[in-house]
Amino acid sequence: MKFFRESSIMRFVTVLALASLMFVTTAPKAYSAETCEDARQAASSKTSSVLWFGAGCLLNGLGVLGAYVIKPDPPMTSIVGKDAMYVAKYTDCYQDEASSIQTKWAWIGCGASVAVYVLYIVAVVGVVSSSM
Amino acid sequence: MIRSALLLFVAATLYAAPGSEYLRVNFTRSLYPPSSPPEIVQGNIYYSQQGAVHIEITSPVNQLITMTGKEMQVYYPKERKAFVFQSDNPLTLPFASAFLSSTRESFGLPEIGFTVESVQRSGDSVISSWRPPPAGRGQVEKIVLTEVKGDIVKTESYAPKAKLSTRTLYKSYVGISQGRVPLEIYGGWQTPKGWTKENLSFSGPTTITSLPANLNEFKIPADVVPRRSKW
Repeated sequence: MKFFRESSIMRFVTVLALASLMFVTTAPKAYSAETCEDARQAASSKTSSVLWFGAGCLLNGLGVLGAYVIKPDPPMTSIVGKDAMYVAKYTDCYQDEASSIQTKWAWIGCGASVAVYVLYIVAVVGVVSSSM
Repeated sequence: MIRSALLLFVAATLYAAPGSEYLRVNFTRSLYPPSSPPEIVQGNIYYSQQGAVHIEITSPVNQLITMTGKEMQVYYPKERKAFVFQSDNPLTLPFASAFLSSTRESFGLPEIGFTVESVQRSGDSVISSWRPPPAGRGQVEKIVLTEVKGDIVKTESYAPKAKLSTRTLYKSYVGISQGRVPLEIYGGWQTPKGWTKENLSFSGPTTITSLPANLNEFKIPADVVPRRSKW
């Protein structure tokens, strides 16, 4: 009886320890996930897809290069009153998301520009061929 | 962008009373984002005669912020961690600049290229509508100022297609050496998630000749390596 009680207690303590370990390991991830989500939403609202589509369309390779190089200004009020861990995570996620949006739309603009140019060439060739 | 440029201009041209290096004011900032818990921040702001702005956050964390044009330093004294943000454009904290913005004639709008479109007067009230410079017209269609007896009581900015994007109310004006300033500012702006509200309350504005000794003139200690970000 005593052995049964002690083994039950041991099992309970083991389960409790494992549960607390899971809580400790998951809590920081949840904190980081929320911080990153805040940063991604801010970057998404602050980064102009139209601007970078235009840059890729008009400047082609230079526009795409600029998208990789130029970093947009973050909303600095978002870090006021936040701890150092939050600021570090927010900064990283904001930069990553903003760069991702910029490069994506710059490539789309560049591709659209190339497609229009190809269609133009095909049309010109067609006209020249038909006139001969 | 226009709001930031305006407030930066105001911050950059601040001045303290002759013989004083800094203007100090206590503040509480309450932010109410949609679908998120409120954020309450308390601290002190020090406006330097040279144009720098120093902010000491006392709650919920101990955080020191220094803004000098295109650079912002953030230092955590207890954790001994620091960040330095640099940008090609001036970095601003609108809530810090808002306190002194009303001391400028017409909110300083003419000095950054805004032109007045219309002025309506009714008793002690004056409502003026301002058009932004060409560079800003893609983001801001107009800014409307409402003044009562010379004090700005409301500012509204409209995005293209006459969509209200920000509204700010200014209350409880007091006189200081720099002019009349509001001790209560209630702002709000449109975000993708909804309307965000911001309440600012200021107290104890005073001019001082130097920063408090415990703030060590807001310098990051030499043995603390800051994390640098170039925007």
